Amino acid sequence: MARRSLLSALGETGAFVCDTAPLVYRLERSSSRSVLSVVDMLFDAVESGDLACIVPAVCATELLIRPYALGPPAVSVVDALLRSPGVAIASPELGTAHAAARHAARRTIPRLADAFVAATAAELRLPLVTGDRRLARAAAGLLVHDFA
Amino acid sequence: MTELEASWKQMVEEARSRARPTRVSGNGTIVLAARARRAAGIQPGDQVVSIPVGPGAVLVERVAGGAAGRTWREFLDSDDNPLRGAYGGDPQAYVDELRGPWRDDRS
Repeated sequence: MARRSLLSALGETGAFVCDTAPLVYRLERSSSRSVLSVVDMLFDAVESGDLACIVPAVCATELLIRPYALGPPAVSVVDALLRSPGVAIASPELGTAHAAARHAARRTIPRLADAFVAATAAELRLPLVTGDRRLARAAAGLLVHDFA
Repeated sequence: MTELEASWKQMVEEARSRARPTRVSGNGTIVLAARARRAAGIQPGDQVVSIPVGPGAVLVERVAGGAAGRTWREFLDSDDNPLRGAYGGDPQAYVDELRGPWRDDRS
């Protein structure tokens, strides 16, 4: 039976909230070919304007940490990706803070950054794409490896 | 001074010692030195913005066209991508390192 593609799983939403790891897969190119293929299909669709990618501010920060240790060329690539058409940064609103706090208080999503990512997707009513099986399970997100 | 601060200061000092002045034209045009342009990953065709950051200092930042005629995938797969393997080869391990252990200790 053919595997369902990540794009078809995203359905007609036209946008998704992206956790940090899928963006790292896209940038550093070091994962397995099958995972890379899934991630490339997703971000190629963003680049062509078929999908919008919403990046929580905390994920943008995480994405920039390693480049800042490497120097300006690395920072410049991540910065250009985050500014590219089809990509938007989601700043946490009060509603997001409440939702993230509920997750953390109930330990349904114990790590604060994960809770913010899940809360951002829930607030925007968009699917979450992640590389974390635990977060995918807790937040009903889409795990990139499930489509590889 | 942290190691990161030290490396930045060293990079700035090294760049400053190599930099040669270029004259600003009547309409404000300047030439970005090839060495600085390459180091910053700015390529012909890229769009940049100029942001004044202090007296006599302007930050030139690329805002679009990082692939300079190439698709993002082509650029990222090329030797020009400074991020190949930069996160350690295991993206989720990088994220876990930043976010700490997942402690689901609900009772």
